[in-house]
Amino acid sequence: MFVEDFKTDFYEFLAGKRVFLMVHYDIDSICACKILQSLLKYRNILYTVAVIQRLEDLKRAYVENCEDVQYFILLNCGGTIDIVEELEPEEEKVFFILDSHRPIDVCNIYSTDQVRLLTRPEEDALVPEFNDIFRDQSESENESDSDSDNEGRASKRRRLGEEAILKRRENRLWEENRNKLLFEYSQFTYYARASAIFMFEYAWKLNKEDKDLLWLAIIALTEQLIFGKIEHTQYILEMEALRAHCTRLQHKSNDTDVLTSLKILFEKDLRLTLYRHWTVEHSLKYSMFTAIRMKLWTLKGDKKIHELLADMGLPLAQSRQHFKSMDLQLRKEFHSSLEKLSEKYGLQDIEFTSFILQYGYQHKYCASDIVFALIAILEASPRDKKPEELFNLALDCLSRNKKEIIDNAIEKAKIVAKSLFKTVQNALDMKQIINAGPFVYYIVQEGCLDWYMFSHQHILLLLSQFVLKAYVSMSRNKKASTLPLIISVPKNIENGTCILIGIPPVCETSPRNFFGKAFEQAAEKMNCEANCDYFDTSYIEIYSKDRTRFFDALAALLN
Amino acid sequence: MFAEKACSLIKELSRCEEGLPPYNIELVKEVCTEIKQLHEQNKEDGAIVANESEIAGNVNPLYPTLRIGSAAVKRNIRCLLAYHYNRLRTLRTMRWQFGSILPPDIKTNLSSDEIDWFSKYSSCLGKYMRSIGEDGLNLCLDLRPPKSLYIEVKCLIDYGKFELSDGTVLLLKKDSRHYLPRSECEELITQGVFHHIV
Repeated sequence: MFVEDFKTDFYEFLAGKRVFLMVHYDIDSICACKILQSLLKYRNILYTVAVIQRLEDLKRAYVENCEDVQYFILLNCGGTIDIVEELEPEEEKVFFILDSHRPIDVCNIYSTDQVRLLTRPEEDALVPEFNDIFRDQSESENESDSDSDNEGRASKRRRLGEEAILKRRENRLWEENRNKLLFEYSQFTYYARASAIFMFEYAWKLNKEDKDLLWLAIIALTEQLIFGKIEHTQYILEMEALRAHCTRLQHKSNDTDVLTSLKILFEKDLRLTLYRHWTVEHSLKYSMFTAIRMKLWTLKGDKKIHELLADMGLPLAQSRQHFKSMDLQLRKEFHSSLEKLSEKYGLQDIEFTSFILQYGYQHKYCASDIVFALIAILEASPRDKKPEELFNLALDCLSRNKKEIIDNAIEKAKIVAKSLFKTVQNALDMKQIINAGPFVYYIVQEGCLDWYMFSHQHILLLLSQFVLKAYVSMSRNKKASTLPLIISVPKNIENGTCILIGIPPVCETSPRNFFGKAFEQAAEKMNCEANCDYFDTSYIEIYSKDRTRFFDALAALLN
Repeated sequence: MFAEKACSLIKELSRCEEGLPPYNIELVKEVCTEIKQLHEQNKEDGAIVANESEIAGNVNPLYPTLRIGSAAVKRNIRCLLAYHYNRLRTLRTMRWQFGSILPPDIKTNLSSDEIDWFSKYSSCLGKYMRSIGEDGLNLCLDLRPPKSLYIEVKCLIDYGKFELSDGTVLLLKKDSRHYLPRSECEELITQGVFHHIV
């Protein structure tokens, strides 16, 4: 069921109770968690936070804590699975779910009391009607009983009455209709509005919002844009709403001291990775946007960068300097001169609108900088760090007074950007992106330099988008833009498993992903052991030895 | 030079402002012997001066020596007093910080008299705190008023189950975050189970 009134049914309801927060391991959840924490603190609601990566973690965390806690809040996890079936909770346990994964499981939607969804249903979600998918259990059970009785007792001679036949037929039709509706509903997996934005709006309704919380919502939105989880139009709509909040809060506050004032500025940003904290040359070279538009992995592309720099009037020596140390004049003109030349070099839409956070003189970061820094912390850290540790570090990174953590993370993010580029370049040079008919695939080999980094969800997503776009831009095949991509990366070398991700083709404008169902069916068809306990079902974990057969099954399915 | 040792005693104390340096019993003894020597010297000189002053009325050449000697004695005594007084002052603040049981590394730095004093001070304070109100009041808690009654903490080790005073049970796992009443956490923070997140 959907929670109608956040204030009475959630916030006031939980006052004085102890809750258990289960937070998914991604940026949006971390932001939402931070907003929720500040809300809970206002009412002195005791909480415990646990990090959830997969379904398995969710179950374990539940089992460990179910004796002591009654109320569970799930952030970005659990919405897409049938909670009651998976966790088998006792009657009095209550789950509040705020999940941006779609589609929401129908059982959660129609649960009467135990599962309460904090999101609002989307208008275009086409949730099947209750009567179309659920029926009185006793009725159908009776029938199935009598059915089996009929068959069991060799009652072929007994003639069925016309009524019974009609009823059976009706049943069959109903079931067919049910399956069809459910399939249509769950065919595509996609992301809805970021949970952090929901949380921020709730905070706003409770009159407890401030600029820090707004910034968290902005980061969550930017993350969705960078990882292509939402369409650009949706981004613009959400951004305008946040911009209104931004101006309102700016006027409301009265901190005029430059040293300690917190400002969120609405500004145009470039689709260049971390350029404010890097050299211009590197940023141009390793950003996905420019790399694809100018085909920077080729020799020609390399020359093109120098051409562009010459056209901009940016001396090479300057472009190899840290952006902050460039001549003031050049730095000021950088934005406009790049914009002017964007048409000539095919870099249209290099600009997008975003926000900048400024705190005092030193602390000035773009929303996208923070997103890259966070992803570097969460997914590109050394192997011996546990996810909980990294989660805590990411939470620290979002607080204002930990500048050195952010700066370290940004350095790490540069390495991520470089290795993404190099992997793509390598894949194209060695022609490792293979066309399998209805889709293309690319296998990251075990010996590959950065395989461990790519075995994480979000960096893998970035890699897959990069690979597919690069492939399409290089391919002579006219149909290339209509082909989806699957990437396989080793996950656990000892067990010999690998993780697969599928992304929709370039020509699709909406990021709706059909691979969830396709993977499930292919795995079912070939009876292989597959581990699909990711909350985003476009990832699946299988044994590497089954991979070839799995691809064959998929090809057969998608043809 | 006179009073040099006493001065180095003071310097040693002032070098470590935060903690307590080991009680420097040797140096204290040396200062004491110096005082004794000076005192003896002064006594002798004083006797000579007294004898001579009866004979002749003019200025005795031993006068400056006598003055310097007595000044050095006074200075030595002042330094010793300052040394001991300041140690006791640090010890007193420690009583408020750590409670009646001192950490072993500090205890080894104390002299036996100081340990004696500490236990007496503790019992005095304890008696006073018990006498406030009906069943006593722990004055050592919250020396500075806390900003909030609840704090966020990070668990540093796998502690297992932990029961709060109101009966709710928590499972404390490594690197999990909790939001709990301050009074419940304080003990675990000093034990190193929790880390307070600011």
